[in-house]
Amino acid sequence: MRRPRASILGLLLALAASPAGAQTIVTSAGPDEVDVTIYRAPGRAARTAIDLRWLNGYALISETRRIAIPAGESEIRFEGVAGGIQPQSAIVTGFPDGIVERNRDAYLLSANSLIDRSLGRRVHLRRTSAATGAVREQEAVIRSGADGALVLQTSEGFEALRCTGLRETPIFSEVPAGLSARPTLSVRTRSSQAVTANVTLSYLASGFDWQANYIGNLAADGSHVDLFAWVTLASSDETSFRNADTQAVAGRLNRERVRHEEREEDRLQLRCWPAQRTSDIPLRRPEPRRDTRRGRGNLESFAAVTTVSDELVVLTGSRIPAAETLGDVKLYRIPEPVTVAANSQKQVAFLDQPNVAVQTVYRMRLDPDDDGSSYRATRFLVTRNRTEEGLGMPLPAGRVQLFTTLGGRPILIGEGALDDRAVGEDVEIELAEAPGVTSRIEEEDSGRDWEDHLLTVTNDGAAPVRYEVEFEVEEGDRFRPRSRLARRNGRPLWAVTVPANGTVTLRYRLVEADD
Amino acid sequence: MDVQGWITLTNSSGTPYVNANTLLVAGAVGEGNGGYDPRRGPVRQPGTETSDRERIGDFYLYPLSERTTIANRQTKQVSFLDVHNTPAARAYEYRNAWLGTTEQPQSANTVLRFSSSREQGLGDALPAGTVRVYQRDARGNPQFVGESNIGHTPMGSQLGLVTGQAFDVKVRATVERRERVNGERWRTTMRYTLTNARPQPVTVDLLQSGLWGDTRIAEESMASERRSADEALWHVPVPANGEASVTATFDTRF
Repeated sequence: MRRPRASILGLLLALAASPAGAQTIVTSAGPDEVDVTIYRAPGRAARTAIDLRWLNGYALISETRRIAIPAGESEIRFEGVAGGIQPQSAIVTGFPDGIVERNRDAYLLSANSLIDRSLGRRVHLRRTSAATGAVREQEAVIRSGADGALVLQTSEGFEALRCTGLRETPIFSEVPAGLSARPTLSVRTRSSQAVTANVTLSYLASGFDWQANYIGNLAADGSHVDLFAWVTLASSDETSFRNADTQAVAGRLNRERVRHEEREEDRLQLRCWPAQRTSDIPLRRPEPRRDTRRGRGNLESFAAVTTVSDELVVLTGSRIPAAETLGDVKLYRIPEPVTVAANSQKQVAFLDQPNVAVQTVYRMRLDPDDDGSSYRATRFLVTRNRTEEGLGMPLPAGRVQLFTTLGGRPILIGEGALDDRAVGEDVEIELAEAPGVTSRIEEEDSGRDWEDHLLTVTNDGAAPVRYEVEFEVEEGDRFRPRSRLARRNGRPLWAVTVPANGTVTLRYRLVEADD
Repeated sequence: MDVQGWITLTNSSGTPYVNANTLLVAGAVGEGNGGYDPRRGPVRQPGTETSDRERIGDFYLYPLSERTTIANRQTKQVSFLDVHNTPAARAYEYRNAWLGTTEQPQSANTVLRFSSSREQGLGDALPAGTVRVYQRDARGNPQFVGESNIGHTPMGSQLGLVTGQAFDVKVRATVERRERVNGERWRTTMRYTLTNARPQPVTVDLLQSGLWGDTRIAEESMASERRSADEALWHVPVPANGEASVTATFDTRF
């Protein structure tokens, strides 16, 4: 009985060694040139900073690799692609005779996958005797996958790893073919002759983001601001891209929900038949907690950091040139190749505009019928994105911090945000509530269907301020001011200068709807 | 526009399929919901042409040309379409909701228009999936400029894919005035301001929705097209680095 069994085993091994016939495997370890374009998280508001624990943006990665393609059919493996690759989005060009198919294996080299791929193969089993400390090695064949237990066949019969109480570990003489330690995309190609070709691979990958941050320094008289801005790029991917031509895209692009193929878990769980008495075993055994996060290893551990380092790499010497128009979005190019490192951030200056003409306006919206309450105005910094004002360039969304210099040191006086602003648009940044500019409405007189009101605005500052109020009139009511008002956003607008330490007033009548 | 089509198949069944003869069926078997699709989909006009592909019942078949091995936990992709130089156009659309006032200017949608017809388009039926759009930058490198899902699309269809929003083309809608005419009717004046920071003129398809049945447009600064009882459409030309505005007064019951 022993002989035929051995020959069947031999046949199985031969099959496993060449799973796809006479196919040559060519492995490309990494890109020769790489180009990374980072896109912002689609839903993130201008006011919200990047979440370093969960980067929701994405990147387009384009790689060029020089590959020797053998004649005949071969499998070309691209190692070192981004771990967050969305394989559906991959585009591969440069193969002289095209490609048959492209594959992405969610299996990476791990304790689990090593066992799964070694099914039916021989390993060495190293055992340490608890009594004598003697180490003994013997041959074993893996007979089961890694799901819960590892069953081995030895000359002594079948047994489950580490269930006998012996200290033991399997030793693999080689890594099974096609199992990479790094994220890999592969293509199957057929070539009439052996050639060396420049192959380009581009794909979208998740786990990137970027943001703009504006820092303004307001002049003492409040008439202009020196504006400076940074671009911060962040990657939570496990792959670093060295010397990459790097770009960032501003604008909103449509993204669809993608089905993400989760990577196979690294953790190997060995569950043995309980060795206790039956009375020791609880009636219902709790399910072992499965840690779904990556990077938790039991037998072997793979270091994987899921949060991005807070440490910033700042490139002070270089500056991003003006934005390029790419279709209907804007492209910012980092002027020199940089390394987009795994789990890291990088900052580059992209704007330095001294002397931008600005106005400070105190704004509010009021219900004209809201008697008795008193409201504080909100301070806005207002300008227009034109060369006349000292701007005139596409401004990507981001947070704005406004400083002023007091006694030689900068003091933060306001914090706001800016949405994507095209050239020519109004730029209005809400900065802070101003306790010194207040508004109060009193009822002065009333009739059957009308009320007369008085709005009083006070300013406690030593300088006059520009004040604007929009009245939110209830539908159907008629708003009749004593002096003529402008309109904005379809609402009556009263724009006035409140003198230093002074007061201004507006009288108006509200006529109620007929029914 | 050049178009490549790839089929993606994923095996998470736990078993590899070695050297398998593989056939893919496009269509949802047993998922009928009366054909109702509430989304405003990308198909602007469904096609009436028959593709050359093999069909079974109402579904198109995509057989793989040769046997393949589908490993466990593998995502495999196979090409099924490769078309060069098919005509395509970029367009802008903005849809305003009834009584919608935008406090800040809003970007118009960027729409990619093309056809799946034999004569002037892709010349194939398209199985449901995601269309990703790439465009070359100033250095000639292709960059991603948005994506959109499509349903199973017959050959000969007119498609309009919303791929994103335009940085430089914006619309500001304002309810200028709203008055009660009598117990029955209201008069609402809307103003739409369209701005274009691009160096070329653009045309924006401006839509006002929520008009319901008996809404009349009493006055308008340019002629509209009533696309349906619910929607009015203006084709608004906006000059290069300039702006345009449209006003309209609606006579409504509400």
